[in-house]
Amino acid sequence: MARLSKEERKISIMSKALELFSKEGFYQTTMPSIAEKIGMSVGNLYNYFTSKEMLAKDLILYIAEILGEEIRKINESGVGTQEKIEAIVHMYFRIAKDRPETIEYFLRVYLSNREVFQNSCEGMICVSAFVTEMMIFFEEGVRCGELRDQDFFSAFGLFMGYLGGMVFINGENILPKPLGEYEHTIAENIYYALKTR
Amino acid sequence: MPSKPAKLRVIWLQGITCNGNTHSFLNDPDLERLLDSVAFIHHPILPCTKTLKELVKKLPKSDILIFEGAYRADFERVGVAMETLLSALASKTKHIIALGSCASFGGIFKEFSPEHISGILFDKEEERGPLKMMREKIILLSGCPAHPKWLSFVIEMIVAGKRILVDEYRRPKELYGYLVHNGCLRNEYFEWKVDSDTFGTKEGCLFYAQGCQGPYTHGSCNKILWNEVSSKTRAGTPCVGCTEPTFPKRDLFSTKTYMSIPAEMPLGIPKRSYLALAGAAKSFHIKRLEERLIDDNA
Amino acid sequence: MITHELIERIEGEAVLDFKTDKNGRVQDAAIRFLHFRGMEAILEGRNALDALVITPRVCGICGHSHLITTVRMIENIYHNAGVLIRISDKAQSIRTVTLSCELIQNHIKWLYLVMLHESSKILGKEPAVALKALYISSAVNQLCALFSGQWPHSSYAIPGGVTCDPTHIEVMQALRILSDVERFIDDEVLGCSPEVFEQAMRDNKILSLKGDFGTVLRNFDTLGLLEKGKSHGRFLVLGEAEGVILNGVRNRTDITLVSEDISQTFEHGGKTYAKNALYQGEFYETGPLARALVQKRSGVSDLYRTYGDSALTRLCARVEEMVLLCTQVRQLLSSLDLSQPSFIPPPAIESISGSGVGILEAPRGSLIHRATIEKGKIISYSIITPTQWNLGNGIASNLGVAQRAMIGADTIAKASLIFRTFDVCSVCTTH
Repeated sequence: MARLSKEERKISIMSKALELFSKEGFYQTTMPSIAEKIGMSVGNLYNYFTSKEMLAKDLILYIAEILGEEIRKINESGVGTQEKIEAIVHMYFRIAKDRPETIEYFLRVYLSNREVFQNSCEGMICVSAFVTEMMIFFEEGVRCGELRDQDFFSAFGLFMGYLGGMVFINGENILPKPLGEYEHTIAENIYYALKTR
Repeated sequence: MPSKPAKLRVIWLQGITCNGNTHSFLNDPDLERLLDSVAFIHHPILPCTKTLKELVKKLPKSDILIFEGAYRADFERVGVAMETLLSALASKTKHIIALGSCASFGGIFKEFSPEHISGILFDKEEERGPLKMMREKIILLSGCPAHPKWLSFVIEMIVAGKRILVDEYRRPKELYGYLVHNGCLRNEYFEWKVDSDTFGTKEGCLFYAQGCQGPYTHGSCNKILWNEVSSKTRAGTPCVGCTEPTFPKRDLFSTKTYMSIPAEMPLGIPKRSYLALAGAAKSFHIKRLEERLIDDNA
Repeated sequence: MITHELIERIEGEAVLDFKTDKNGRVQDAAIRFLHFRGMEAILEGRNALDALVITPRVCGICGHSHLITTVRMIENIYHNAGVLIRISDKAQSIRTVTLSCELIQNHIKWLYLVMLHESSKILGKEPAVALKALYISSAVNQLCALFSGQWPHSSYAIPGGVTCDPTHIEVMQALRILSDVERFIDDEVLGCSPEVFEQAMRDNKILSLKGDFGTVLRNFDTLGLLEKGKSHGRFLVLGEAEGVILNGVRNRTDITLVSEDISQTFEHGGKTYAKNALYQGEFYETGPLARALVQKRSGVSDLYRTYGDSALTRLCARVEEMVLLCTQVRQLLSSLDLSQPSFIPPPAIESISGSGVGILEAPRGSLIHRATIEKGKIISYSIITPTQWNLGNGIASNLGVAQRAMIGADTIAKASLIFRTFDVCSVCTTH
C-alpha cells in the first residue's frame, strides 16, 4: 500500500474525528478517543493537530470548503434562480444523507459550542468559503431580478435555517417520509418566500 | 545669454459648458509660471491676443487646442457651428486637450440630448466623437471639473517634449492610474469594512451605504489635493465618479446593493475574492475603528 | 442704425442689438443669449439628492450658490411634507462661510478681470493678466475647500447639514487665509482700511481711493460714465434679509409675486433663450446694490442718495459687499462650535413627496430653485437665476434693468461697459 502523504493522512484523521465529534459532541470526544479510533498513538496525533480546538477549527473549515465548492458549481452552472435553489437543497440533503456527520458537525458542534471557536473562528471566518458562495447566489438572484432585494442575513437565515431544521428533525426520526421526498416542496417554498413580488 | 524659447500658442475653445474647467484652471497657484511657457491666442476669461470673434474669423494655427465643454455639431460660437469651427482649429494644431468630462465623454450636458451631444473623441465609452481621426494627438483630462494641476502637468510635458503615457481613454496614466480611493483618509475603514452610518463624521467608509465611487473611479483626487487642501472624500462627500465615461450615474448619495452586497466591486477585484475578504474583515470588531477618531473632550 | 455686438468674457457670450442715432448714441438695446443647456430637463426623473451634484454645474463661477439653493429647496420640501428638519448652528455657519467665499472670489474676479480690464481697454491701456487677483481668488476658494472639499463643483451640503467634520486645524487655516484676503482688499483693492473706505463713500471722496478700485472709478470718470447707467430704481432681495424697494419705499417680499416671462424666447418667436424674471410683473434690479439698499447699509445708501442707481453706486456696492463678507466670515469662523453635529439625518428622501422652494442671495442676486418630487424623484424643476432679473429683455414701454441703464450711452463701447457693471453671467442666464 502506498504511503499516505501528510496531507492525506490529515484528511483521513479528520473524517474519523468528524464521526466521533458529531456522534459524541465536542466535550465527550477527547484526543485519546480519536487516536484510539484511528489506531495511532496520541503523541502522533498531536503531530498533526496541536490541540482538540485546532482540529475542531480545521474541521469546520473543511466542511465549509466542501459545501462552498458544491454551491460554487451550482452558481456557475448558468441555470435560473429557481433551479439553483432546487440544486442547493438537493445537494444539502444528499450530503446530509451520504455524509450525515458533516451536517451534524455543523449543527451540533460548530453552532452549539461557539465558545470553542471564539478565538480563531470569529464571525464567519471559518465558514467564509460557504457563506461567500451563498452571498454570490443571493446577489446574482437579486441582480437578475428574480429575488427580492433585502438584508442578506434575513434571506440567508430563511434558507439555511430551513434546511438545517429539516435535517435536524430528520435526524430525530420525526419525518414520516425520506428527506429526499421533501426536496421539491422545500425548494419551492424557499423560492416563493424569496422571489420578487 | 540664450534667448527665451518661444511660448507655445494655446487656444482655449468652449463647447456646451458651465465654465467650471475655466474657473478650476484659474485656481492654479502656479499660473504665473505656466504663463511663462504658454501664450493664449484665445481664452474665454484671461487676456489673450484674439477675441472670440477674431478667432472664429482667422482660425489661426496653434500648438495646443484646449476644448472645454460637450460637443454638438450645430452648437454655435459667433454664428459658426462647432462642426466647422472645431475641425478647422483641430486640424491646425499639434496637440488637443479635451478638458473636463463634457469634452471627454459628453458629461452632464449630454443628458439633455443624448443622441446629439458627445465628447470630442469619445461618446460615453464609445470612440465615435467628431475628432476620432485625430485620436493620436488628443489627450483626455476627464473630471467635472478637471484639476488645474492635471492640465498644467500635460502642458508642461508637451513643453518639455516628453511622451505622455495614456490609458484606453487617452487619459495620462500618471494621473488616472490611481483610483480616487487611493490616499483616501478613510482607507482603514474600508480595509476593515467599517461603514459610516451617517454623513458628517470623520469616521467610516462611504462605499457601503453613502454611494462613494472612489474604489472604482480613476483619478488622483486624493494624491493631488483639490485647492491644495482637500477632496470630496476628505470633506465627507462620496466620490461621484466624475472622471468616468459613465458620469453622471443615478442615485449618487446611496450605494446600490443586491442583498446588502455592493452592486459594483472595487475595480478589478473579483466578487468572490471581495466577499471572502469582506466577510472575514467584518467578523472582527476592531474597537478603535468603532470609536470616534478624536474624542470630544470639550 | 442697428449693430449686433458680441459681448465676450462674461461666462460665455451675449449679443447686444444696439439701435443708435446718427451720433452713435444708444437709443435701444436688446439683450440676447444664444446658448441653452436644458439643466431643468436633465434633473427631471432623477433622485432629488442627485440635484446636489447636477445643479452646481449650472455655473462654473457660482455653482456653490446653486448647491446651497438646492439643499435649501430640498429641506423646504421636507418641511412642506410635514417633516421637521434640524440643522445645527455649526452646519448653518459653515454653509454661510463657503457661500460667502464664492461671493468674494466672484467679486474679485469681476473687479479685476472684467471692470479693471475692460475699462482700461477702452482707454487704450489694456492691462496684463491680473495674477495677484487670481492668486487671491484661488486662496478664497481654498478657504472654501477646507470645508467643502473642493471649489468649483462641491456637493458637500446635504439635507440635514454638511458632510464635513472639520477640526480646529481647518478653522485656523481658514482664518489665516482670510487674513491674507483682508490684507489684499486693504492694500490692493482699496488702498486703505475698510473704515476709511466707508468714510470716503459717506464723504463722497471715493474717487481719491488709491487702490485698484480707485483706478476703475477714475477710468469710469474719464469715460464720463460714473453717473451713467441709471435704471428703474426698483430693487429686490428675495434671499437673506429680504426686502423690495419701489419708489423709495421698502417692503417685505412675497415669493408668490415672482413670475417668468417667456415671450422673448426662441420658443415663442423671440431671439433669445433667456426668460425674463419679473416681480409683480415688473423688472427689478437684484444683486449687491439691491442688498446694500434693502439692508440700509450706510456708505452705499449715502452714495445712492446723491448718485441714484448709477454705475458709481453699483460698482461701490459690489466692492463694499466684499469687505462686509470678510467681516462676516471672520465672525462665523471665530464662533464655530465644533462639538455640534455636522449632520442630523432626516428621513429617507424616498419617503417624501411634495413641492418646495429654495431662495438665496448669490453673487449676482436672488437665486430661486423650485421642484416637485414624488417619493424622492424629481417630477419638475425650475431655476430662476439672478441675471434673469438684471438682464431681462423687455420692450420699449417696459425695459429690462440693464437695457434701461444702457440707453443714452454715447457709444456702443460705453453701453457695453455699463452692461458689464451688472456682472453678467451668460451660462446662468439660460442654464
